[in-house]
Amino acid sequence: MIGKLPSDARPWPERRDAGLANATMRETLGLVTRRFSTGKRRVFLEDPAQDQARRAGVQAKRAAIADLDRLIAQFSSAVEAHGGVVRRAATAEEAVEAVKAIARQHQVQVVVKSKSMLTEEIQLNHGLEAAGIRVLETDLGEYIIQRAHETPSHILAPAAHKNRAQIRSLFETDAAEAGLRPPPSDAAETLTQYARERLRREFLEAGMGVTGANFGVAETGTVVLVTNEGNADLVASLPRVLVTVMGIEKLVARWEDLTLLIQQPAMNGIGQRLSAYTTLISGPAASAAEGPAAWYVVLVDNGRSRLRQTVFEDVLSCIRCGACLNVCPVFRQVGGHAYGSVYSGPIGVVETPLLTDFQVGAELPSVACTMCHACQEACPMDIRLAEHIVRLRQEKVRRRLNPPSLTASYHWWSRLWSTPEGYRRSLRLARAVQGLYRRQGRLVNAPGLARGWFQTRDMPPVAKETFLEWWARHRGGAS
Amino acid sequence: MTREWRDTFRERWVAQGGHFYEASDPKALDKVLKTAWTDLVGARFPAARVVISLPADLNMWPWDAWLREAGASEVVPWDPSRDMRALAAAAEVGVTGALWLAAETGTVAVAGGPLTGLLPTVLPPVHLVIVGVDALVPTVQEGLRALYAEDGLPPMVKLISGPSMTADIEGTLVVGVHGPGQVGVILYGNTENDGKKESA
Repeated sequence: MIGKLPSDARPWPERRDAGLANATMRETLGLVTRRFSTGKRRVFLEDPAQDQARRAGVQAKRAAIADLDRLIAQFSSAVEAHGGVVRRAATAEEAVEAVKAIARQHQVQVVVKSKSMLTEEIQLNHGLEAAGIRVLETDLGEYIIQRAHETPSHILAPAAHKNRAQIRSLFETDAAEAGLRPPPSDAAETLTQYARERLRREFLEAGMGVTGANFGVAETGTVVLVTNEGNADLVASLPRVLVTVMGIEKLVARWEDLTLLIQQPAMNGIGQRLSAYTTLISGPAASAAEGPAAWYVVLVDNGRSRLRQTVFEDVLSCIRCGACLNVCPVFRQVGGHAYGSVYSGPIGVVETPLLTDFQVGAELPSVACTMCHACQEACPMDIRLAEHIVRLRQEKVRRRLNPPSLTASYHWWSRLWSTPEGYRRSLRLARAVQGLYRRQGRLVNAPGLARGWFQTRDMPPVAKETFLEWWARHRGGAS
Repeated sequence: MTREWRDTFRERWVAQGGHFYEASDPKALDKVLKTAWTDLVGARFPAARVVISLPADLNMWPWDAWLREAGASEVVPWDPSRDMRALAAAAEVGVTGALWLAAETGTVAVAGGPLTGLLPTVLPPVHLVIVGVDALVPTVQEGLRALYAEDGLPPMVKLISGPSMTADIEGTLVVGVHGPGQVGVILYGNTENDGKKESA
């Protein structure tokens, strides 16, 4: 079944330019992506053994995807043996309906959430709010963008596009609505302290908690959550009902596999050896004093099964660490919103069209990649991201998904440059007309179909005499 | 080995923003507790309230008296029949034990159970862990393996590797978001006479 993902209706050039014009976002993303990548290099240098664990972890993830049907059954019986309940959802709609039904059954009015890309993917908040349930994101960055009615700009730094003044003003409105004192300054500490107090009340009163999942262990029926703020702990231990929304690809077979993988998201994503708070849930509460009395796991497919037994199967090993975003030269310039999908950066370029069969993000493989291969090198799960982007470009040509003018211009360009004479002729032609298109020593435009290429690029002009011409003049006759 | 693990744990835990104290002679525990209290609680939270949930083997010491001596205004023991959510939310300090400490990652593992609680680890702004040297393990991998070997996993296990933190506002690191901003470990017992038990 084809998956469904939300999409931004604005065309790519508009999304791209909005990203390039957002100075706050570019500065923050520059800072955090550099910090994350430097940290990653350092932790792997200090603990060389960790690379072995990573490689064994990749094998475990691959094996799990190959054996997914059995693991889903095993995971479900293990969770139910501990008193949890498992629901399966083939589509985004089914997943939202399942969570809504649980909320109705327990007469829930307020839901607290920890960060989950999957719940963004299925637009869970929208579904719950339409059913009259109030939903509060509790990850600080997610809370900020929820108040601004926006979407994440980086999977690990969702509010990277907001500056302190903007956040303070959002919190002032929020404080007025909640009847609280507004934050007294726009210092990061003060704003964080405000969010702590604001959300603490909600944590204690909410009827249901919703989390995503970083890993699921089939053998033990365990769900693993990784956070630095500790908010997932509160979501999972304060409300009486807990719902874990998990993609089927998060499953691994054995507890031993988890021990290999548990450090990988933090090591590769943010350069920490382990996230500050890592929570392993294997059942509902042991006592009435804390923890949920009822625990549900909603297992979501939404297009994932389609990728199994295809050349793209390794995409399902993604642990959402963000390492590919941190090294991507396109992502670091345009930021997450430009991708128009909940999944941004190289993994978003690959996964968005794959999950939706090119219904969403079909333009991404063509426009959002420079073919530098940095993502493929950075991916801890050895996903062949750059190769997949080339495959997706080929698939777009096969399916005629590109505008005819684009296909035609690339066709003629390749015809022209596939012989030495054709290449030289194009240079002579360019030299003859380039005077019209020069600005400050660079070529900035061209006639006809070639104009499109220059919309976002420039290039040096063709030399008065190329090396080959010089060679022919000086030595050509001598040999 | 225990000594090396202790050294690595201390180095990494402190680098991640945690506080570390040692009582190699358990008789000095009350003094060490006082030092830790001054650092972590001190003037920041005068007349602080404490929720305490320690494993049975730590109950041989008079924690209630020691904590009051250090400056606590109230010490609430974990009692599943009471409203621990409200009590832990009102406290400034949570005191717990630990399953194990992993050296390589500077990690404290804690678990909830019928008689012990996890809310003291996350609701109060200060979390203090009291644990013996026997709990040291080299890596998270080893700790998790040991956990699995015992029969049946606890419903919730938490691995804590520093204070609650965020860099969500302009990339600035801030501690104490939803969980504690101050975390401390008091390690008791002697790491020096390591191995003597086996040879005896």
